[in-house]
Amino acid sequence: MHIRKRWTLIFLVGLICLIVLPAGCFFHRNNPPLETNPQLNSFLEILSLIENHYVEPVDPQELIYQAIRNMTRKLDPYSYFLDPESQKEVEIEITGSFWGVGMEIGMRDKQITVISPLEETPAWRAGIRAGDRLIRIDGISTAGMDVMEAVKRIRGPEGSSVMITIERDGKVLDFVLLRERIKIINVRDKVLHSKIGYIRINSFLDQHTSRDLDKALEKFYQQGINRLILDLRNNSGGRLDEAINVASRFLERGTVVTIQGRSSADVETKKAKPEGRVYPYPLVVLVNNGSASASEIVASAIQENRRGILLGITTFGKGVVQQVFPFADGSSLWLVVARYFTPGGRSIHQQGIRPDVEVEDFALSPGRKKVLENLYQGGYLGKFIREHPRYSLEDIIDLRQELLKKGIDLTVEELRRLIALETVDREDDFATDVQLLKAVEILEDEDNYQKILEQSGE
Amino acid sequence: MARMKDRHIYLVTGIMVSFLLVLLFSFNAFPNLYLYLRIFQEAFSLIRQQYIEPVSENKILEGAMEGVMEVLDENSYILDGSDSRKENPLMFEDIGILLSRGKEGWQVVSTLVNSPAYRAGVRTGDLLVRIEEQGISAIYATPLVNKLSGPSFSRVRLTFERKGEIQKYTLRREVFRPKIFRERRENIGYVRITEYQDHIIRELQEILWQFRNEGIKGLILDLRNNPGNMYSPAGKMAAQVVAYFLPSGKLVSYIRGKNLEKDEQRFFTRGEPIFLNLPLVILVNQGTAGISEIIAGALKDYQRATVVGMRTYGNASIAHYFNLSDGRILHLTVAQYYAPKGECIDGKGILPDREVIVSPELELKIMKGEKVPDSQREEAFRILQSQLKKVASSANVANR
Repeated sequence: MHIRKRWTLIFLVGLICLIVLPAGCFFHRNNPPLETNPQLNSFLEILSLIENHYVEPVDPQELIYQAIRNMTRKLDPYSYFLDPESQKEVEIEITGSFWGVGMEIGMRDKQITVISPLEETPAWRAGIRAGDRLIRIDGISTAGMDVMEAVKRIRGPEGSSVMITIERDGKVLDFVLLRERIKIINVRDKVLHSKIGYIRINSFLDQHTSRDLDKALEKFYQQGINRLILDLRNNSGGRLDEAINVASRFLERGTVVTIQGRSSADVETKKAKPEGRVYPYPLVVLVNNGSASASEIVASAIQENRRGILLGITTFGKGVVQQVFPFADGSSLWLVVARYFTPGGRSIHQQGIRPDVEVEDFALSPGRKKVLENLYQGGYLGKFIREHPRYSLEDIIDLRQELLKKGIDLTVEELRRLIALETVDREDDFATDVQLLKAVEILEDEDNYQKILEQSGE
Repeated sequence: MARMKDRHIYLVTGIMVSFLLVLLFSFNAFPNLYLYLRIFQEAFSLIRQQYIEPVSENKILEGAMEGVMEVLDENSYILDGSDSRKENPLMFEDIGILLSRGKEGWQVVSTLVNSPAYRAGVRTGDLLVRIEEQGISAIYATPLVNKLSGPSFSRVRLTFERKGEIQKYTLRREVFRPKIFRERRENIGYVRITEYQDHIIRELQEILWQFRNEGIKGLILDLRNNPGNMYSPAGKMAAQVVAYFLPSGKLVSYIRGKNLEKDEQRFFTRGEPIFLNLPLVILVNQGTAGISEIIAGALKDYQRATVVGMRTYGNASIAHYFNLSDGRILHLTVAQYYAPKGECIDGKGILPDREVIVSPELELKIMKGEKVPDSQREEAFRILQSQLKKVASSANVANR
């Protein structure tokens, strides 16, 4: 019994070696299996030669990443390669949450600055304010850091803490903050005066976008809202299915978008699939040159089905579908695999969508900003509204003359818009939101709205 | 008996297991490359099959190769099979420029003194962007080589870019120009070599002997704008020149490649020096490269000379040609030159003992032949004079 066991052991070991050895040699070879393309062979040979002969060791990862990156550069701007770190960053954006302290930061005057603390977050509760200069993170100076790096340092594992040092009005303050799960708010809603509902969708990356939209729409319904502004400005897009869902909330039927793949036979038509309540209200969709992809799908579906009107400036023009192919090491290849076409058959790509009502963004050049600051500091608008509960164009012209004497130069049109805004809720930056004002104006005048809707697309 | 059998069996098993372990261990040496090759194959496949449009395989492979070459140094690039295997394919003597494949494109390493390019004002760092109004490929040197080569006295139109500014030149090829100068100022000798060729070295030797006979008390060796990248091995030629100033048997330079034992090679001085103790200054600037850098590095490390001017280029390496399946050739850097004390010259250059900076504007004037003061040379002269004063005063002390 003993002897047999031993020989069985040796036999097994020998067998393993016999199998492993040739298999090992096969995998051990530097040269991967030969391809029929001589140029591909050359490429692989170059890698091998570098590995064996180049003067110093080179990280194969660096070589391959650069190779793939450069391959995608030959394709188009929306096909690219992301290394594992970048892919993770994108995923954070997509999932819409991370463990952090809840403040938006940016670069101002070469210094990392708090743009705004998000409500009900550790940063907000601790009293960190917009404009605070972020000078140290965990004791490390932020001088020379870029925003990405600062963000990475602020975010961290669940339950861990981070020390934030800010400078405000010459004072230096330290905060120790406990990281929490921060949810990026994707859909914001607000009731404007005269029963106009305003909904802003930040991005279509979030898989709950349409669900969050439903909540807002239902809330409006309960409040008796019967006119809507849907704000898709600077919404760079995201998931196709969410775009279709969102469009479906407003369209009862009809085509939302057509997708054309690689071969001519590869055509898919996506139709509206309404669920639950339908909201047939007059609808103005705000767009600008930051509205792209999924936003453009929603906008063009609403425009071409005559469901609502588009207001703003021509959209970005990204009408392609990207597919993400993840690799074993966490990196990924993003490839354009299809193109979008509007219900009317137009290609969005590189052209964008022209709104029915074109309104430029309020020019925020440094000169203009100062003028507005002076205007608000002087309280002139508030005074005007108090003294003129009903105002005429002549009144506004007089106001302009008055302001000119004080060195504030605004056109009558600009003043008209600003005054209209004073009667609307003044939070966020609605104060300078010319496009929003115009949308409100249009929705307040039903005849005008109908007229524009009928003329749409001509 | 049973026990003996036991030992045998365990021995055999032990050998087999360790063999297995060695095999497994060696797997771990290469999984990295293998993993990434797999990822590349996948990416290549996906682009071919999934991208919205059919795309030429060769086009994307060209991109892949560009990506890889971007990671390597500036002396690694790709050539067509038809090119002759010159020592340095990117040295264009008749125009007067040595090129390399920089991060932003083909760039000038050095402009040969008094060459057509030099007189036009082409400088180290200028990017060559167009030849005869046509663009140039990023990684293939062959089109570049073909277009830049031409018969003597023929012309070629070149467009360079420097800090965003475009400069166009029409240069006439010429090969015959003086490549070695000598001068004397009081008891200080000055010799400038602009290129290395056998006969130039012979002439240099003669000049040095002449100087010795004339009894000079100090010497300036000017190697500015001398890229010295024409002879293989550069170390050997550098050692020849250094040998004029150091005792025999001194290590001038060594090269190192990937495989330390196999690729290391050392260069030593041989023969009697001409000037063993004569105060010596070497003039260098950003256009000093190759053999010239090796010379400067050796003389500096032995403190045999004071190096004056600006940091040298840092282009002292050896490349080999490798044939590729598609008929092309990979020109790959396989070794780098090191100074005697152990600093790598390639990629870093030699720092001067005394830095004297010449502004680009002044440099342009010098190149165009305007009569302007040569601050670097003046400094060299001053250094030698003060060294001589010290010698004289200590001699006086000794004499008392």
